[in-house]
Amino acid sequence: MAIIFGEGNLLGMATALELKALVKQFPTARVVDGISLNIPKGCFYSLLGPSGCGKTTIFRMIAGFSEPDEGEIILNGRRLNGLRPYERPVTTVFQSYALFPHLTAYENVAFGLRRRGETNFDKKVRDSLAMVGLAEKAERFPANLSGGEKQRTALARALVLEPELLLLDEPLSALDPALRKRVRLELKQIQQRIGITFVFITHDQEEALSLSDRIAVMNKGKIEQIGTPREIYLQPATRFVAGFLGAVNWIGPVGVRPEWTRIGRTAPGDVESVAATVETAVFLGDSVHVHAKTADGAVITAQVHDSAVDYENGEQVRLWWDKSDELRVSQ
Amino acid sequence: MRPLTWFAVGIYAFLHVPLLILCAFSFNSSRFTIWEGFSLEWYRQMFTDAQLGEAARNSLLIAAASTVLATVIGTLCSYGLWKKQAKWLSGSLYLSLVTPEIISGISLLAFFQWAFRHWQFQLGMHTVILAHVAFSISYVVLVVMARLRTAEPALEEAALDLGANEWQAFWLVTLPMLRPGIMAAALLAFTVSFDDYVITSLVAGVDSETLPMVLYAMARRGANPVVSAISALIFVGFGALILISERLQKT
Repeated sequence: MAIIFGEGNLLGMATALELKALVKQFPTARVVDGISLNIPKGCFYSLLGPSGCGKTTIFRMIAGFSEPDEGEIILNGRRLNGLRPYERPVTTVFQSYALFPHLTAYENVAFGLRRRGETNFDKKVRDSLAMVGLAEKAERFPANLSGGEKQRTALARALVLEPELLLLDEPLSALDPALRKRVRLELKQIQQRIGITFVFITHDQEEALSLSDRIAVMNKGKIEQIGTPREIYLQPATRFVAGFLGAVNWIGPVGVRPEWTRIGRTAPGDVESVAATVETAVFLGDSVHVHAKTADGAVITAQVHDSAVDYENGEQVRLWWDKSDELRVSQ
Repeated sequence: MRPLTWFAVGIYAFLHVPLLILCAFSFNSSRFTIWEGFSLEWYRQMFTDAQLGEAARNSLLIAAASTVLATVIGTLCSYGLWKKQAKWLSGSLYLSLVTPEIISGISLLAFFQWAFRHWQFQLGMHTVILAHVAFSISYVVLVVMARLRTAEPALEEAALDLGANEWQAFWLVTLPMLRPGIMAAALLAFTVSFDDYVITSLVAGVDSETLPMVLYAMARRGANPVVSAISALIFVGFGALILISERLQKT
């Protein structure tokens, strides 16, 4: 399990995976443009970014489905470049799960052990299925498993090989929202228990924030920022990171998140505030989002946590925030 | 009954009544199309006719051999086309499905005659088999491709990821996954081969008369209850094959 000291320092952790100046050129674009990063052992590491940012290409290069044009991939001191996928101590949970439809859950999990020539694998397979709570469903075919069960079978199938690194390619995106939250929690608990390095590929900032020890935020083939979930949310390095991780009100070069933006009919006497006109107030149950337009045309959103609060459209309000909550980013 | 129901009944009657009449008259004791009483005479004659027996043996042999060859080649073809996402090449394979049979037959005959100038062989069973393989491949590709299109592309990658090499991934994952499609394709290849008259009659030799060729010759000499008996038997046999194929496609 990763032990985190202070803000973003994983001290004393050896590096598991090292990417050195990785480049992948596609006919129309440089999809991976000089990516370097160090992933500590036992870490839950997320590659977060919008579709087309290059995260999937990086995953494919680590797994061995694609070769980088430049750069090196080093796992626990061993160079992976040029090795076939079956020669790499890396396994994958695919977005679509990619369970073999003609094999039972048990045989899906046993597949990799059989390829290794193991014969006494029954206990390993049963333990692995039990770990993901599927001991009872070992004899079922994938067609007779629910979405969540398929996902867990895929996880058991990848983990039973005790890989040095587990790649997860958007593994939760095919699940419905309620199930996604539960599976997310289970995923984190399993990773903490077994201590294998997880590299999680996702475009969902909430998933990345809630699961990761470290996040690398990517955009257009480059890394925008690497840090702990708190660091990248509270101290985003760039405007892109600030905006991708959550909503931001931009007042010139200064950003303020809606949950830190205060709103009232009058401001407390001693703070600097901005005058605005309410455009809409959206009731969300646990909070109210008030969108208000300032004199210079900027629309600022304030998230009010008191659900009883309500504003009329066109009402004059004041907006203010703590200076310490301002996001200071480079472009 | 509502008008649409009547319409449906009419269509089904139009489709099936001729076959039912054929089956009924195969049990008629008269040679002519007047019902005189139940008889198995024509079936007895059918089973004792030496020419029919040989033609049936030829047809089954040709269908079996061309099915095996066309299924293997066609399956590998569709796998390659799917892997390489080769749209133009897939399209050109389907071309042979829409080429009129008489054209395919003449072109194959021309090809064989050209080949005879270089190698010493003649029209016969082997040329029929080759011709049947040629036109069955596109049927096999059509059916297997349909199965591959619904397959998950990540399956082979998952197999590689779990330690299988490329050959094992194909043999242990892709092929078993395709099995229902391959079986259905083989059944289709078998029926189109068994059924073919036009191409077969052009490329057959003296030793390779098939059942459709003999039936055609007999039917041209006038209504013959033995022809009805064979037709009824083939109809029932292939009906059963199609039912099996439907079952396989579903799994």
